[in-house]
Amino acid sequence: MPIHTSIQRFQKIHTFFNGLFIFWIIFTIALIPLAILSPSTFKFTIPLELKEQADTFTGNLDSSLNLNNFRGQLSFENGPLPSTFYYHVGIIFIINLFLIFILLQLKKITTSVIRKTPFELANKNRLKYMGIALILLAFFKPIVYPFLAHTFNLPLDSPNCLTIAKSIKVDLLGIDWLYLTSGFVCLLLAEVFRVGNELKQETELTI
Amino acid sequence: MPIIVNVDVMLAKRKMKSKDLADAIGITVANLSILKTGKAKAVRFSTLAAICKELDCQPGDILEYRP
Repeated sequence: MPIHTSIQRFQKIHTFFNGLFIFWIIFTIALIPLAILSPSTFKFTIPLELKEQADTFTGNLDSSLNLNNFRGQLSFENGPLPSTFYYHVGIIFIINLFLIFILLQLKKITTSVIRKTPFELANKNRLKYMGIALILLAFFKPIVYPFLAHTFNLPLDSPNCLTIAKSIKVDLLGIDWLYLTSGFVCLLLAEVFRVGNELKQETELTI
Repeated sequence: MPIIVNVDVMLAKRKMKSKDLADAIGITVANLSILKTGKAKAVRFSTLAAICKELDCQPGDILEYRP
């Protein structure tokens, strides 16, 4: 495959990562006003004064429908928030921070590929950090969820928790295998990039 | 690295400038500088042959082993 075609393809991937990165940042920032504004109760009322209009209505209407019921008002009111609201918003916020970090690393890696210097040592470190972040995410649900639930005295979603010590629970079935596998693949790629960097340096220093 | 590169000695003997040698053998001055300062990890036979041809010497005159 010609190099310029590959670079063009990477420019498209880079643009995609840029868009995704901006979207996730906006989404994460939007969680803050959501968390602040959600507890405020709101109520709005629609007055229904259909009595007069109903008097003038002459069409075929079901006789069983009592139009007097329409007089009054229709009101909407949000109910009390569930006790787990902040717990879930907080978890989504933390996971988003992880994902933003991973997307930032991916963005930098694609930038270096476009610059035609993919085997730089920084890329090895970026892949390593990505792998660690993905592995942490994989263990986030089975370890951090039960821990937070216990700390804030909240009910747990998953019934599969295993009590490993007094009041310490681990949800072994909650391990995200996709994140875990991706994390190990990233760590493997980091090692490949390290060797690639050594070979590159050797080639550069061969006169 | 116990291998010493004596290109600068041979250049002085032949009264030749680094740039002239680099131009003659087809490498950059920067790469020749890497070779002279001993930072190079390897030398291609083609480069070595070109240097020997230009400086009219043997590889042993350029490379020296000091344990």
